Order: sequence, then structure tokens, then C-alpha cells
Amino acid sequence: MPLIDSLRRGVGSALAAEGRVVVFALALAVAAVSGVGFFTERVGGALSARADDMLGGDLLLRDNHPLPEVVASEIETLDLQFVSLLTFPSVALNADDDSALVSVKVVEAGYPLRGELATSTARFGGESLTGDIPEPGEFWVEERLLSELGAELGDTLYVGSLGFPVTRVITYESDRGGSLFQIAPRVMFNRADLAAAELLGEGSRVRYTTQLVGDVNALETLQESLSEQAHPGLRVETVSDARPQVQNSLDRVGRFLGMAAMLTVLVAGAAVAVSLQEQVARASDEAAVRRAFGATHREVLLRVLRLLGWQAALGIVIGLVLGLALQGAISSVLSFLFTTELPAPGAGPVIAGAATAIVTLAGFGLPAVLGIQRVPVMRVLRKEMGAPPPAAWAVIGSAVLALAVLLLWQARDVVLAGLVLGALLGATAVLYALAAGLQWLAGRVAGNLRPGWRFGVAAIARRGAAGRLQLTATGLGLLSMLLLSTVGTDLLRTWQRELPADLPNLFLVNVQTDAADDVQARLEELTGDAVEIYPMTRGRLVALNGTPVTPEDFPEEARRTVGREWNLTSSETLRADNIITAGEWWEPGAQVSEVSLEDELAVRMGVSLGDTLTLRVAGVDVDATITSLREVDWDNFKPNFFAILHPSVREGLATTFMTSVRLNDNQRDGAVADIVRDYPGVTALDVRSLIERISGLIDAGASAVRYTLVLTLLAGAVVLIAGVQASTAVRVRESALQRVLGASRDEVRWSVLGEFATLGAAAGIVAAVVATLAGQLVARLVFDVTLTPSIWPLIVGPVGSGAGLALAGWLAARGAASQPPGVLLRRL
Amino acid sequence: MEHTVLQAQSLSKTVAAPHGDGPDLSLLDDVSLSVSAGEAVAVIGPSGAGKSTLLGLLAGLDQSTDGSVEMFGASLNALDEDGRAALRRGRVGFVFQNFQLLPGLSAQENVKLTLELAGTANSDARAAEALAAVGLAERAQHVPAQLSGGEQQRVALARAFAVKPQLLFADEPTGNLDQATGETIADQLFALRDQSGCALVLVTHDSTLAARCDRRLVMRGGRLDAAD
Repeated sequence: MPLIDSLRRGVGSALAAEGRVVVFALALAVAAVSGVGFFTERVGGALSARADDMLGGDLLLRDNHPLPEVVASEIETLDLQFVSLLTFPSVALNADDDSALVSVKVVEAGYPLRGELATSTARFGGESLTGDIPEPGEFWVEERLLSELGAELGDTLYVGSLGFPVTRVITYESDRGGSLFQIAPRVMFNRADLAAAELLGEGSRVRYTTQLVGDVNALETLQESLSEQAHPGLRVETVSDARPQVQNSLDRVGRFLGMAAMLTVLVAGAAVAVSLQEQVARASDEAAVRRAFGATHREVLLRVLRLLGWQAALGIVIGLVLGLALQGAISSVLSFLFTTELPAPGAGPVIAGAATAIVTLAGFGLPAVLGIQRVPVMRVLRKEMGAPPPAAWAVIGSAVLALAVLLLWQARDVVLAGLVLGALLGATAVLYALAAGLQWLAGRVAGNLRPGWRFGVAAIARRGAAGRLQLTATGLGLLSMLLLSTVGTDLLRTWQRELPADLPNLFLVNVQTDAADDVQARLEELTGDAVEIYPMTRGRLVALNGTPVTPEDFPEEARRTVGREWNLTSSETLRADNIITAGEWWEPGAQVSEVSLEDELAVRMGVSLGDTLTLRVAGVDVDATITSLREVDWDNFKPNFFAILHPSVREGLATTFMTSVRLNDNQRDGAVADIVRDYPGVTALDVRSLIERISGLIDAGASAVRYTLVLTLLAGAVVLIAGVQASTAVRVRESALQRVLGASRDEVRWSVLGEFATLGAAAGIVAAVVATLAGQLVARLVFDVTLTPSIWPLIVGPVGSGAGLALAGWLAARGAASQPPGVLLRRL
Repeated sequence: MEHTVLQAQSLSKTVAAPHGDGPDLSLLDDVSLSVSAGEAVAVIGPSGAGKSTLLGLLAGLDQSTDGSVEMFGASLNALDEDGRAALRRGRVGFVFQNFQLLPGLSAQENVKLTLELAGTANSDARAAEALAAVGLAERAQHVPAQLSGGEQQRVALARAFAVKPQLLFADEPTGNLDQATGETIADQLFALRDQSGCALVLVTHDSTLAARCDRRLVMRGGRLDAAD
């Protein structure tokens, strides 16, 4: 079977000696890129579909008017799937004419296009996902409306001209969106009943929403054409406008995975560079003999290229299998999150993986490989004559070019790719300079050490440029491992902090002033802990520095916020989780008309300290001067406010109170119902479902991060092995001579251990210091999290890498110590 | 009478036939010899006669199947690898046909290697001296690839004599060199030996070179034929 024979020979030659390292390094690079690709495409796609859930579609169009005809026909032309919804505030009545403000949602078949609607057929009963919408002639409502109106399932409620029985309780609407505290309880009914409701009169505050799903390109085309056409009032929303907690988590997962994949490729590239140099040196004997017998330069080169072809092919195949396994593992961890099957893996990541292998091999290995043509034929006579080493500019230039291509392709952003490349080159330059410094130092101190160790340390000084390359590659590998571990671990920790165990799962709003103390006392008794209760009033910005303003007077990015009613609170003291970034918090006891504004909003609005805001609260205008700006942690699920008024400003304004607590099911049982019954105005918002779903997302991101970390750690280990293996031949030869000349086995062992342990520890120290500094920068600039400084990398780095390298070096060179010197000499 | 530095009794070495087919292969058969302090002994014979095998056994680089070797009065058979290495350290020098210089090290570093092993103080200065003695002071910082074959062998001579050995093993020291260079190397080898007064075991098939030794032993088919 000639085919099988040649396959076996090809695979065999590809996996001989250093070839194994090349293949494995390529496989890891391919696995990282394809695994992350598979993840982004499948799980990431499904995850962002989760964020789409928040919209109810891939794209959302909102307007205060029905969708313009021209837009509707364009949607049809583009073959996009869509549903239309109407939402508006209204009043619901029970049979006794008790009323409650409600938020009506009118839906049609197909709603929601993305996301979930969960309902229950019993009050406080188990929820289940539904693909249905209310039948004509029925209402679905939120539990708190039933509480407010003292109604039961099956009772008839009245909205507009409609009087329908309530048939289900809505427990979760993934596209509910908006602030939790502004929403009146939901009443949902079928669009078929809209006309009969007679609710859409002049001046009604209806919002028309169109949820769209479909081909990504078609959606982009629609977005572009909408931005070109002028449709005043029509707003386009995408995933990035969805709930910030989710978006932040998704962005961070994406950025981390991209960075991990690129670092894995870089580290694998370093391993390829080191190993190929050795592979070419080994192939030089054969090349010289072939040339002596008449082979041309081209034939010699082709032979090596064929070998590389086999290695690339094997690396790609193994890498893709690993990549598939990786994403399979992630997907299975996440399976609970997805009710539907994930889409099958596409060809994209396969092509990306293969391209990565080829670019990595070419970029990091080509200069060394091309050198095979320059092996002098004289080598058949003088073994020490090898090909001149490739020019430094060629090696560096080609690696930089390959990295630039890969980074640009991964980041799709010239500036970002440039920054990362610059940082990598900087780190490499620092490592190389430190390697040179270490060699100098080793030469100075070696003489003072005990014999075995002395040879090892002296050897570091003797290795020259090859040694510096090895040390730099080792350092880069360690740096990547430490950087990703510290940043990754901290990201995970940050996410866990975003959803701490004591996260509030119940919000009580509209607590009247006379009820506030009692509600607070009851909750404190229930939880056995202090419960904060915040005064809250709602107001709209009507003037700035005495001049009347409308949202249109502000930059685009501030209009939405300015146009809304703000939740205002007041406080004598500054909350611990708010940080003053400009100005000063007011002195206690002062009587001042001051307001503290969230700093990012101030930037968006273009206002600053000293500006005076006029806020209209229930028809009363109050002035307040901005005297401080605050950083607010919006991700903490606590009641947060754009504006905090000085208590004297709030005096006399209509105020209610709100609070948030975490209650377990036992505490919740009955107690909340009692509060709501005793104080009918109080609205209880249960966010258990929401928290559960967000924590699912965060778990998904966390597993993706953990799996990718493992890959990078493996790649780092490979580069260490490559470095060790690259110099094994020289070390075996040295060890053999040392033995012949009278060194004991122990001395040879100590020599090898000394050299590698010193190298590893030195590379570990440098990598740990650089990783600690870089980690702080990366965490702040790229991931927007604060990295807790830790001493561990500085301990684990040097100790781990010293021990690891010493072990790897010892395993590679152990033959030299265990065989009789005569046998070794014959092999030299 | 001069004392004996090296004595071999009935040395034999056999190896298993390739792939285990057929009887064991005899490389060396019942060889006995002794070398006195300061004496130069040549072992001559055709290729494949077992000269290098004998040298390996005499130097304790390999172990015999049978027989015994005593070096400086100590039985090599009674010593383990490390013991034999310790015995050689600083007292035994080597010169090889293919030089066996470490390619990554400069000439001076190659020489320094043996001095470091012997624990010699001022190894840098001593290495420089040894190189100067073979006329290579100017080439001390060159790596082997930058040196000619003759120069490489001179570095090997400097390395061998730097530790002032009592016994020197030379395996075809001129075998890889042209006649003129070979003669220069031989001259330097014997000059350095005369200076140091060490014993020499020289394996060669060059009868002219062998003639410069005090005694010649001829090997054929793994046996020591007769004294020449």
C-alpha cells in the first residue's frame, strides 16, 4: 500500500525529535484559535442571543409612531422576520373599581422573537417557559398587579374598554428592559383586542416596537440605510444597548478569549521558532551530504519544506480535534442555559485554525528553514561548519509580520492590534535585555559556586545569542501564563463579586413616608441585619443654569437619559460604594441647594461642577448646584442614582422610599405578602429569575476563561520544553566530555540542574514582575476591572519555572549521566 | 624501576551480535599490558583491530567483559562510574581524532572546562597559558568553527595538558590532519609530554608517529600480537 506507506513515513519523519514540539506547538495554536472561534461562533453566538433576549430580537426599532411605511417595506425586502408590539401606560381596575397604574404590552403571534416568556397558571406557582401569547379575550398580568388590586387568577380586570379574565401570571419577560424601579406592573393582551380597547386616543403615550431577527448582513444593511434616512424619533437598538451587566460580562469574555488565543499563538510561535532552529541544524548533515552528491539548493529546501508541510498538517488536524473537544466541553457545561440545540460548528474556525498554523510556521520558522540552503557542502568534511544563522532582522521581521497579521485579524482594529504588538515587542525587548544581563551576571558569579552548580551557571554565560533567544522565549511563555492566570483569576473573581451571595433579590418601592420606618424595621427583623431605605422622588431636568432645556440641547449620548424622569434620592452622608471623583460631598447639617451627579452622566451631558440644574418634581421646580461628581458601581444590583440631592433640597417634595434586601424562600414566605397587604401602595419587585439567568451567563464566561487558560498554560509548557530540547544535544555533548574528563555523575546532574534551575528562576522572576505590571495595565485598560495586587505570581513564577525547567532539563539530559562515557563518546 | 601507572590483565570485550542473531562478537581478547610512569606506549594496528576499544577500557570509559585494569594502583573494576571519573580527574588527559571540542565554547572556554573540573584556581589564566604554549594565544576567543583542523587539535592538546596530567590517552591524534599539520601536532604532543613527563598511551595506525614512542604494541583481530 504505497499511500499508507508514504503516510506513515511522512508522519514518522514529522514527529521525529524536535518535530514533536513543532507539531504540538502548532496544534495548541490551532486549538486556541479554533476553540475560541468555535466558542464565539456557537456558544458566544448563543450567549449574545441571550443578550438579544433582552431586546427580544437581534435588532429593535422603537418609535412613538407606527413604523414608517418605507421602513416596513425595506424589512420585507430584506426578508427579515419581525413582530410588532405596542407598550403604553394605562390604568387597570378591578370589579370594585380599585385602580392601579399598569404598563400594557400588546403582542402578536411570534412574540418574542428572541428570549423567553415565562408564566405560571397559579399564583406563586412554578413557572414554565411558553411559546404562546394571550388568546384574544384574556389578560396575562404580573403577580404584583394581582396583589395591588386584591385580585385572583380568573378574576376579571378592566383596561380601557376591555374587561377580560386573568388567565396566567407573567413571571419573566426577558425583553422587559428598562429600570426595575420605573415599571408599573405588566398587563399583556393580544393585538386582536387592541382596537376594541379604545386606548390609542390623542396624546396617548404609545411606544411602537419592532423586534427583528434574520441574516446578519441584512440587519446591517437595514441599520445602515436607517442611519442614512431621516426618521425623526425612530431609534435603533442593538445588543450593545441591552442591559449593561450582561454586556460588560460578554465583552470581557470576548476580549479575554481573544487575548488568550493570541498569547497562545505567540507562545506557540516562540516554541516553533526555537524548535525549528534545532530541527534545521539537525537536518544540516543530511543536506550537506545530499549537496555533496549533487542535490540542488532547491531540492534540499523542498525536502525540508515537505517535512514542514507534514508537521503543519499534523498540527492542524490535532489542533482542530483539540479545539472541537474544547468547545464541546464548554458547550456541555453551558447546556443548562440553552433550551435549544446549539448551532453546529461552522467552517470558519477550521479555516482560521489552519491559517493560524501556516502563518505561525511561516512567520516564526521560515528564516531558519531557508537557511538550510546555505549549509556548506564542506560540512561533510568539517562537521562544525553549519549554515550561517539567519539575520536577526529577518527572524524578528518575519515573526513581527506574522504576529501583526494574526493580531489584526483577531482584533479587526488597527490601533488595538498595533498597541498589543507594540506591547509584545516591548516585553520581548525587555526580556532579551534582561537575558543578556543575566548572562553577564552568570559569568561573574559562576566562579564562586560549588563545582557542579558552577558549570551550570557558567554554561548560561557561554550560550551566547542562542541562550538569550531561549531565555527570551522561556520568559515570554512564562509571562503569558502568569499574565493570563492573574488577569483571568481576577476576572473570575470580579464576576463573582458582581453576583455576591448577598445580592438583593427583592426590591420594595413606593413605600410611603409613614410606612418607611415600619417596613425597614420588619425587614431588619426578618434578615437580622441592617437594611438601608432610601427616600426617592422623581424629577425631570427642565433647565440648566436658568435656561430651559430639552433633550435635544444635549449631545446625542445624553439625550435618552435627559429625556427620562430621574430617580432622585437625598442623603446627608455619602454611601460607601459611591466614590467622589470631583468636588466635595456636603458638610453635615448645612442648608444648601446642592446636588451630586454621577460622573459619567456629567461627561455625557457636558455639565460640570458649579452648573445649576433645575429639576421639576411633581410640578414643583427645584434648583440645585452640582458640587460633586460620583463614580457609581452600576453592576452591584443595589439601588443606584444618577443624582443625589442635599436633604434640604428634597424637603417638601413628594417622596416615597425604596429598599432592597436578599431574602431566602423561608423568609420571603408570607412576610412580603404581609407588608404588601398592610401597605397596599408598596410594590414588591422579585428579581430572582433575572439574577438566576445573569449568573448563568457569568458561569458560561467563567468556564470559557478557565478552559482557554488551560490551553495557554499548555502552550507555555511546550515552549519551555522546546527551549530545553533545543539545547539538549549541546548539553549531552558537554556532559559526556565532563564525564570523560573526570566529572562525577552528581556533578553532571548538578551542572544540568544548576543551569536550568537558574535559567528558570531568572526567567520566572522577570516574567512575574513584567506580568504583574502588565496585568495591572491590561486589567484597567482592556477589562475595566481592578486587579488585586498579589504576591503569588512573584513566588509561583520563579519557583515553578525554576523547578519545571530543572526537571525538563534533567529529563532531557539524563542519558548523559547514566551511560558510560565511552558509549557517549562514540555517539558524539 | 619506574612505578606502573597503568596495568591491564587479560582484558576481553564481547558484544551481542546485532539483533541477537548468532554468537557474541569479540572485540578484544585476552589483552594484557602495563605502562610505567613517564613511558610512551604506542598501540598500532589496522582499522577494526580493537585499538580504540582497548583505549576506552584502559581509560575506564567503558567496562570490560573480562579481565582487570589498574590505574594509579587502583582497580578500575572495583570502582563504579563515579569512582573511575574521580580517578581520572586532573590526572588523565585525552586527545581525540575528531578533537571533541564543544562547538559553542571559545578555545579558551574549552580549555577551561577541564581546569574547572579539576578545581584548579585561576582557571582563566591557566587556560590562557596552555593556549599560549600551543601558539594559539591570539585565537583564544575563537570558537571551533573559526579554527582550522590543526588549530582545533592544538586547542585539544592545550586542554589535555592544562591540568598537568600523569597519564595521557591519545586516539589517532593526527588521523584527521594532513601530513604537515599532523607532524606539527605530533611534535607539539611529544614536546608537551616531555615537559610534563606524563605517561602516554597512543593509539594510531601511523607507524612514523608510533616510532616516536618508547614502546610499540601491535593489535590484530582484538589480540595483542607482540611487542614491536
